[in-house]
Amino acid sequence: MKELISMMFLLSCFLIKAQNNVGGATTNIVCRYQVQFLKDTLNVESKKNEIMALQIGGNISLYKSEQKRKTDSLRHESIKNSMQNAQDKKSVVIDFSKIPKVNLVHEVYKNGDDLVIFDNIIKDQYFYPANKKIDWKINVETKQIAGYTCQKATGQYNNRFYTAWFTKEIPISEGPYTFKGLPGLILEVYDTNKYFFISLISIQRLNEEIIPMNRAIKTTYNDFKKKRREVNDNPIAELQKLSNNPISKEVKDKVIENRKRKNNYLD
Amino acid sequence: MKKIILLAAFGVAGLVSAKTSEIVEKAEIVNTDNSTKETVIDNCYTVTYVLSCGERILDSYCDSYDDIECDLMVIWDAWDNELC
Repeated sequence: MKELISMMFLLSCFLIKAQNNVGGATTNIVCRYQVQFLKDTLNVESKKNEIMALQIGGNISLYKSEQKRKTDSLRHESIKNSMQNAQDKKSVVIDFSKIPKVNLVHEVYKNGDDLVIFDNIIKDQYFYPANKKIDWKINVETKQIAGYTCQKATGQYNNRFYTAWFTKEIPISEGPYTFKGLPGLILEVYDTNKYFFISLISIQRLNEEIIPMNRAIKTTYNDFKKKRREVNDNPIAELQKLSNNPISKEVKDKVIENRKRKNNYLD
Repeated sequence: MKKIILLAAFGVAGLVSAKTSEIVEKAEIVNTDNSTKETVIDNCYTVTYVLSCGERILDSYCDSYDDIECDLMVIWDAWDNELC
């Protein structure tokens, strides 16, 4: 009997461990950041805003759009209604024009030292490891942000130089996107040209399940960039794959023109 | 009997732990699940996508009812991102 009880205990340990690892992790803290960015670095009118949430639970964190969850839920409701109305006549109207749009779809999932970035190209979702760690240089300069004393740090991520302000008063080595690895929470981070400006708007204690994007295709950063370049060069070919009808010349011209204006990527 | 129970317990534990840990694997599992999903009866629709900038895209869509909601959302996003 003892053996049986021991084995059942062992089994329950396995079950708990497995649950934690497969999306069962929960948040202790949620930090909300406002991200201001230019879609087109040549046009200041192309400025966009997004509220991103950084869910932190132990060694695991997830950075994703706060709006996305609300938007998805409203869209599901909208589609359900459209489908119900369309059952007989087989004609569906998908109208999300009144539902707030998500401007940043990327997500960053961290588990210990491993960082994974999720991102979209047209309709496909991809994920790839973010291998490059930022080599931060900590400066003596300080300033106050939201009542916290923050210290300056600078570092390079891919081709851009960033300035981050972190606070040792919140001793969590976390921050928005892939900006992590400082001896305190990053409250503000921006690149030299301020094409991306990320600032903390709130910190909240919250128990919430951490659920990253699913249905994503595994890739590498280089392959992701290559695919994005191909789509930028020929977006019509990708869009035509989604459509059963030929795309009009007017629409094609507009798509090509819009694609040229998308040139600011955080990665 | 005890041995059988123990064996069964190990079997279940093995299966569960095989489902595992990394997000990478999780996403792959989801992919596999989707690709093997049973197709229900095909439904064909004429679809009008009304985009955030007022543009309208007329298209048709044929697939199983199980996937249509998700697909239509993704297609709307693709059109909206490219045109608006």
